[in-house]
Amino acid sequence: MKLYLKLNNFDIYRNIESLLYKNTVIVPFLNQEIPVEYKIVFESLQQIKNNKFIFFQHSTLKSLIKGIYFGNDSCEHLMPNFREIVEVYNFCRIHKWNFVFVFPPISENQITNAKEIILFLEDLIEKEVEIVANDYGILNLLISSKKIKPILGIHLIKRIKPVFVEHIDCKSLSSQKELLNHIEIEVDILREFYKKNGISRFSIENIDTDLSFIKSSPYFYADFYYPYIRISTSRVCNIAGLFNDKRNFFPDKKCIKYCKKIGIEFKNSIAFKIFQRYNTIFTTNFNLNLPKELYAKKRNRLIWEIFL
Amino acid sequence: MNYDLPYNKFIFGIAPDSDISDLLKKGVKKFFFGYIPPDFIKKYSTQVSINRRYRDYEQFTDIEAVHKVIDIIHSQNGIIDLALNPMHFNNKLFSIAVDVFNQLKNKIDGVIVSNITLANYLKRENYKNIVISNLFGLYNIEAIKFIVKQFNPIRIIMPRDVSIDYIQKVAKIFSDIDIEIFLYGDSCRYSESCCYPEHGYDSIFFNNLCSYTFENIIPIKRPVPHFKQYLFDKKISYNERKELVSNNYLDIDSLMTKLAQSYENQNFNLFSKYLKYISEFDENYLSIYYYKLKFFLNGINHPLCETLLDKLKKSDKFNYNAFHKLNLEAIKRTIKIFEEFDNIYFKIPSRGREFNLKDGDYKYRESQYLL
Repeated sequence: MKLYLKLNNFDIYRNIESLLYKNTVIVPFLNQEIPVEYKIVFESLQQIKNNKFIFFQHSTLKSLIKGIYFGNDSCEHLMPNFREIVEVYNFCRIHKWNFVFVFPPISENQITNAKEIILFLEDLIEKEVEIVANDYGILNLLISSKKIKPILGIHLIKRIKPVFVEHIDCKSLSSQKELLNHIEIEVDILREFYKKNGISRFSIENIDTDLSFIKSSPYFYADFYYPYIRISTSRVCNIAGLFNDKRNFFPDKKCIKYCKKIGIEFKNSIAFKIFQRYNTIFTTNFNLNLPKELYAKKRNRLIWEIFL
Repeated sequence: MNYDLPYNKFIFGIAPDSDISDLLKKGVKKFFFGYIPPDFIKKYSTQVSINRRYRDYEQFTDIEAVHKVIDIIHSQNGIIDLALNPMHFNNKLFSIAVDVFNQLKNKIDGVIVSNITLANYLKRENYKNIVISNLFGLYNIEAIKFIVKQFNPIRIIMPRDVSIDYIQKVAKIFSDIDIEIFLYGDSCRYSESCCYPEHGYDSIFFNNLCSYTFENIIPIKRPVPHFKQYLFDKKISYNERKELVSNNYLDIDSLMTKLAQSYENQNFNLFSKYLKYISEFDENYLSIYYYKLKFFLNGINHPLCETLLDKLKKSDKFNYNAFHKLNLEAIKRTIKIFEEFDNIYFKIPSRGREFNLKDGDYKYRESQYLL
């Protein structure tokens, strides 16, 4: 398995060094009520260090990193601009890291902007361009290019992700688990379809999943997103709705991006561990207990989302 | 009651207790339903369904009843589609969906699918009447082109949360495909194609994610990636560093507490900072706290409060539910907007739910679409 960093925006990129290192300074604050992101920086790093064997290398953390996934998979208003893309790409070149671009789900309002980004990336990157698609429109654009290697994003691998019921002793849930732990990409017909369209990489999150299918043809490679889990990503935005009139619960053609300054917690949600950043409701699972069939494959990737 | 609506353009979701004869009498010609085999329900219940409904009263579970309903509808020249459109899919659900399809394929008029696996299977079986569910999340024309090229559907169901001009654009470009749009949202607030929490556990936990989250919002100051700089700054005390990284709740109640404290401590820099936070909230949001804020700010008796007091307006409590009420006038206006399009039909997601229109003046808040 290879380690990649996921950087959702340029601010996070600017603070990579600080995020990766000097974590002992956080320890005195971990027991108090601090935002989950601060805890996760420390906890996820500890987990990765304790599980270095999954990378089959005994190296420093920095030398384990093989690339960057750059871009926000939540909201189309948060796509990076060309200047930011170039800077992150050049940073990757200097470090001999791979560069992968991540698209959010796109509406008709931003499809032109998205097309420009795709053309820009094709021009910028000499070799093959890897791009994560989170809707069928972007996927359609990517598969028509010979230079692009599309990756199926989280929002194209749909599954039920229980939030409330897991905390309750529920009789029906135990029999339903055998259904919930299996996902659509295990079906041969689907993998054959995507393979025919030049796609052989998919995304999953840190949720209990039966991955036995990755040993069978048609072979696919997994991008394992860690440690954040997307419960709901929506065009209606609770954050935008706080600061604008009701129409702007749907920031359709443009958005002032209050989410850069504001997040949302939910009352009584400590048990459910959900919170909102951008237009997405997240939860977390930082326990890194990967099945061997996942980490034993060199071409599978751990996509470490070090900060939201 | 007959509301004088174009019922022949409606596509009604039905469940075992739907009054199909009444709907047919009104002129409804198009229907859809879901069926789950009883063996499946016995083992797995309904919350991991083979369609997008998760409660037993929303499903047909008796195959004979299904045959009967189909016959009634066909006898009146109606059509009926089978919904096989779950959010969650895998080998097991695929095999059950295929079984159900094979049991009913010679009787139904179409299959509503929500994933590539089943669409592909139907295509391989040369089944022509594929209906594309809104769970595909077709929010742009490129996405629709992809689906049309791959599966040549007879009908495409648009997501709930799209604008009128987008729908019109789709209906024009794909004029030889039927386009089905939600006439009302049936309480689904979020974008269904990217919304993954569980549904249907009402006997255990009566809440869906969207209503739970909407009713329990606490805004906070967003955590920042450069937070360690604060923690390293030895020029500030440990307690101040602690304060900088703690959850900075920005709900009105905590802000009012901080405002009062800063006023008492005569720290007017901090006072104006918190006042600014409060005043940046939307008027509608502030109006929920109208009386509380008015009482509080009058008590503070500071000139900076006057601007905020001027902004406060008494108004109705903001009710997001209002998007989804069945307001007759709003529905009529919505239908009128699309009347030039022969290929647009209106989805009534009434499986297991009542379709009771109410009279009343048109209000923006009570329409599915932004008019």
